[in-house]
Amino acid sequence: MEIDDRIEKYIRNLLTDNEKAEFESELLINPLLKEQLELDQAIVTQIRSQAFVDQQIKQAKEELNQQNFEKYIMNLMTEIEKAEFEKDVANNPVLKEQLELEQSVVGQIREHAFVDNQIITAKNEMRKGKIIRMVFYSATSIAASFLLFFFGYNYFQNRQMNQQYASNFNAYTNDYIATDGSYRGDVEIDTFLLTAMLAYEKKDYPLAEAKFNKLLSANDNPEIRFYLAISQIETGKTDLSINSLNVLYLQPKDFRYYEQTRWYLALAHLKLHHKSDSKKYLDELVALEGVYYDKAKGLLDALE
Amino acid sequence: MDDNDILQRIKVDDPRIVTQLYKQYHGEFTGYIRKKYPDFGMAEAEDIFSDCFQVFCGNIKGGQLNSISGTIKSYFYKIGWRLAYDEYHRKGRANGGTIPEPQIPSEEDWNDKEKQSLMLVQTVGGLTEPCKTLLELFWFKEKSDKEIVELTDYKSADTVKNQRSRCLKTLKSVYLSILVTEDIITDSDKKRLIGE
Repeated sequence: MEIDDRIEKYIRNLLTDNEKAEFESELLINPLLKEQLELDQAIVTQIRSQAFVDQQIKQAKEELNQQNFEKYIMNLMTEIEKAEFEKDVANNPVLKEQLELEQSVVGQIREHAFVDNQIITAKNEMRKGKIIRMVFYSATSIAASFLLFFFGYNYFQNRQMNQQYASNFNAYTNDYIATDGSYRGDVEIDTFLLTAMLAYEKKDYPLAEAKFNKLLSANDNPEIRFYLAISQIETGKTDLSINSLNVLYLQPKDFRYYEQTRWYLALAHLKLHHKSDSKKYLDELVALEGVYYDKAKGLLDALE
Repeated sequence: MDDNDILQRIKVDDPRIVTQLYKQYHGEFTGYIRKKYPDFGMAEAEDIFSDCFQVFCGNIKGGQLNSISGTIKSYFYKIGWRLAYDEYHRKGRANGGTIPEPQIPSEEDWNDKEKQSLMLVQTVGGLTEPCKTLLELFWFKEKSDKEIVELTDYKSADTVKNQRSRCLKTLKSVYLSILVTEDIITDSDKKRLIGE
């Protein structure tokens, strides 16, 4: 075996026990071999480190862009932030394209929420009409005015909750298993789980949900249940999602998605206009002072 | 989570730790760089910020940084300051006369090991295709040459092996040449190490 081959296999831990012992003995008496090994190890460590950092920075940039898009679209940026952001967008065609896509998606969501609200309002008004007529015949016009105020207030509250939900909800990015073929030591990957996660990453939530359910029917796994809950929110089964998240809520504090469970419970309840339930989980996240502290506090303030 | 916990999490390849740190310091750090060097755009400030992570994580994984005496933030600022200064001069922007000359980072704050580690970061960071992909697949994703054939357009495992060996040899040669230029090693050291 050539020297380079042995160094390579030694670093990748591919030598047999005998070969390894022999190589390590030689290192003790051959300073040049030791120096060459150290040089190769330093370079390989840097190659590995840079790939590790690049992967995570790419993810961070995507998440930051997403946050900026949301803040920009929701008009939550300061004037300075807005000017800086618009300058960056003008200088970066890819960013511009992504922003336009985001704006069109949010536009659609808003339009749907608007139509939903109109339907809710219409239903409320139909019910309200009956009530008002009863009140009119049996009570004073002051009571009728109070009801009008009550429904108007409800409408405003629901609308606000819809907006807050839309600006805070993002499907959780898969960090459970790598779907790109790389290996994470602490998770045993089977092909079915991999295809479920690929469906999840491709935002094919109905397929992901079906696959997660199948996996859970064979073996309970809280991490998979968490991704099932997110898929259920995405497919509009918010009640089922709350059930799944309630199961996870009982997991111990070292559960990988301990805080995430509380965050998505808060959002799922917000989606269903359960304001006090949502606030309960947000309060808990603030008290935990963890990764969701800022988001939970911001949302709580907005809901006040 | 204190700063030394963060070091441990980087050591064990926590899949979210760099993402979290990047997001945490991004605004403040890029703002600082752009304030010090108004001629830098956001993309340049972000490149410097990314290089800081490369030096930081490279030092942790290489075993040169096992604990931190100050804070991660101050460590980043120290590296970032140096990187920004080098970049500023590399681009010759100081000659314009309209930009105030920034304070020169003290050489005392920048020891030989840190210099060497920065040179390694820059050498590996300068990898281009196809070497970047080949070396990452082999060393980071730990694929075999046969698996690399399936993932790329290479025709045989032997071709992959020859190509990636050439890439690594060139990388070593470039790095050692920089060390020679900086008088950290001699030319004969370089020849000895790459077996010439």
